[in-house]
Amino acid sequence: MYDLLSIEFLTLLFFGLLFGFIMLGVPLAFVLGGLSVIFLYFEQGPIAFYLIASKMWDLMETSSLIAIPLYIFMAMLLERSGVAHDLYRMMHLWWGGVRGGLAIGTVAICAIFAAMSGISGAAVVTMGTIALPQMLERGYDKRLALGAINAGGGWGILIPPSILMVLYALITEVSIGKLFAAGVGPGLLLFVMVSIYIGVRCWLQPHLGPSLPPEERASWGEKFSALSSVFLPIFIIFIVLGAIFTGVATVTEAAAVGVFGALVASAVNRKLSWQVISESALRTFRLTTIITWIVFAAHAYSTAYTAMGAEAFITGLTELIPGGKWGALGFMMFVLFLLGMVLDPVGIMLITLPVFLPLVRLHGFDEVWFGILFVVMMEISYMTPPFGFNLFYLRSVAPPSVSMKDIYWSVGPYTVVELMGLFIIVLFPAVALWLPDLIFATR
Amino acid sequence: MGAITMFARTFTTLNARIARVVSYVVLLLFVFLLGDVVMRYLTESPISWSAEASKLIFGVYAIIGGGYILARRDHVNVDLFYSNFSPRKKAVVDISTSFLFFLFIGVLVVQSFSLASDSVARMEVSYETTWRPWIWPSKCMIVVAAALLLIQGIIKLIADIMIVMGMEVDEDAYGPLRDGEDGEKESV
Repeated sequence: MYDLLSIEFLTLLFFGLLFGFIMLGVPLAFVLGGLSVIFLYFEQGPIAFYLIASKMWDLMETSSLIAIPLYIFMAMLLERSGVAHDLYRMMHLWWGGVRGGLAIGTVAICAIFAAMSGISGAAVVTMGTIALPQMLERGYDKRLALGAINAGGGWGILIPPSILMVLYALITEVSIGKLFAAGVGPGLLLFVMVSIYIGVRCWLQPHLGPSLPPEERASWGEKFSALSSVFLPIFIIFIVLGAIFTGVATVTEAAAVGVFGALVASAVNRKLSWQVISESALRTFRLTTIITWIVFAAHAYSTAYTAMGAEAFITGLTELIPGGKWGALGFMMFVLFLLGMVLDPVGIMLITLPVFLPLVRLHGFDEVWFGILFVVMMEISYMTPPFGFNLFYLRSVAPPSVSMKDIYWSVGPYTVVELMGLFIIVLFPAVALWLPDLIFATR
Repeated sequence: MGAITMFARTFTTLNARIARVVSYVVLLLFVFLLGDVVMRYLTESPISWSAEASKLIFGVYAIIGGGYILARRDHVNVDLFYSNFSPRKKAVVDISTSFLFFLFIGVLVVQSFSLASDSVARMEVSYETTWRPWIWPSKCMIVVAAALLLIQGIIKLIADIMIVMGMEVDEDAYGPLRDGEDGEKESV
């Protein structure tokens, strides 16, 4: 039976069915798993089914995955810890007098939050709740403010720690520590670029982000006393990233250290209660379960894909793309951009990586660098309509005066800025790679 | 119908209870891993079993909630067209694509059963460290997790058939389950 079907036809069928069922709204995990069973049957017969269970056992035995619930738990605790509230107050005092300053302060908090958490949702929800109403009240342009939160909120997966990088490392077998370190430079680059965009735009068009009237601006005394709000975040960033980059702890152990930091921060702010822990634990359990079931199904799917022998066929196909290796890279980024509009980052990564990885290796791209490009694209996917999580998170916390249309349109300029950032990282790989080279050169 | 609804309610509630209890396991992982780092640097004698124990615990933690997440309808899907379907159309689509779920989870139940029974017969232990813990209980939990998910899938199928037939569906029994602080759908 298998001999009768050409590899071209099988590959087309495989991806056609995958795409078709996903578009019908079937949960990703079941599409991937169900198709794996069907294709394994036609490739090797029912004897290959043992792979389904043994792949699951492999996954349960993967110690790097333990980092996932811990980083999620850390983010859930931080979301409820009041840390963001104090940070916002500080930014308000320091930046309020500058045109567009509240929006710049908001993206700065997003960057700090991203350095404390490995997922994206936490920053969007907290900033949407705290910063958005304040900015709107001060006469900030709706779309400027919404876009800032959308863009900044995505940095959680680029600035270490990052759950998406843990998964990328699991599939590609590059070092998680290196990936984390490689996320620092691009994270700062995007932060600076987005801030410049907001600053320049508001300087040219002051009505978009008016500066606070002088009587509302803070005195230097107030400004300096508010600086104490950064102690807790810096403490958390220091113990987590410090432990990883100095090699004191593994990425997984550092996650446990981070949970400790988040608990301390909550306790200092008197926000720690059994209810907070219990709610955070339940949400952590849900998100972890969602991720692991997709990862597990994707494991089975990549086995079926490899067994099909479609790799050579796909590689051959990409040779039709003009422009050699850069054409191939551009094509991959374009596919990620399109998928980003409809699918979630974890799903996109697990579906495309088995296909992209051979191409990346064929063209001799650095896998850490490619990982960073991948994550930047996923960040953009968090905010591109119609299906970006940040959009829905924002919708759920934004005041009624904000329409879904406002949220959709707000991301336009920010997407362009982030794509420019991506282009800079492509042109100058050192933006991503200098830090990991520096830290891991001797080890 | 009463018996079927009772069956549905029993397992939906069971899945939710398991989730509530197992969700606290993240605290255990936290304590084990933090303890490991602290002991390594303070007393220079790492706890030999904590890394391995957290791995065995995590394995079960990661998969046991599959049925609970299905009861909540939280497994990630693309909402682009699906969210605009009428409840009846959703049910028809879900019934006709349910073969993917049943193939996948059916194979998983059967195969994990043979994996687990083989492991139990040998009273399999792990040789990674000198601790040599049993790993057959973990392998048995794959069967349990897969079975809980399969049963919840059957309950969902029954609910979809009832919707197509124009019958009233009790959400507490058949899902979507909404528990915890917010009724929102979870997304990663």
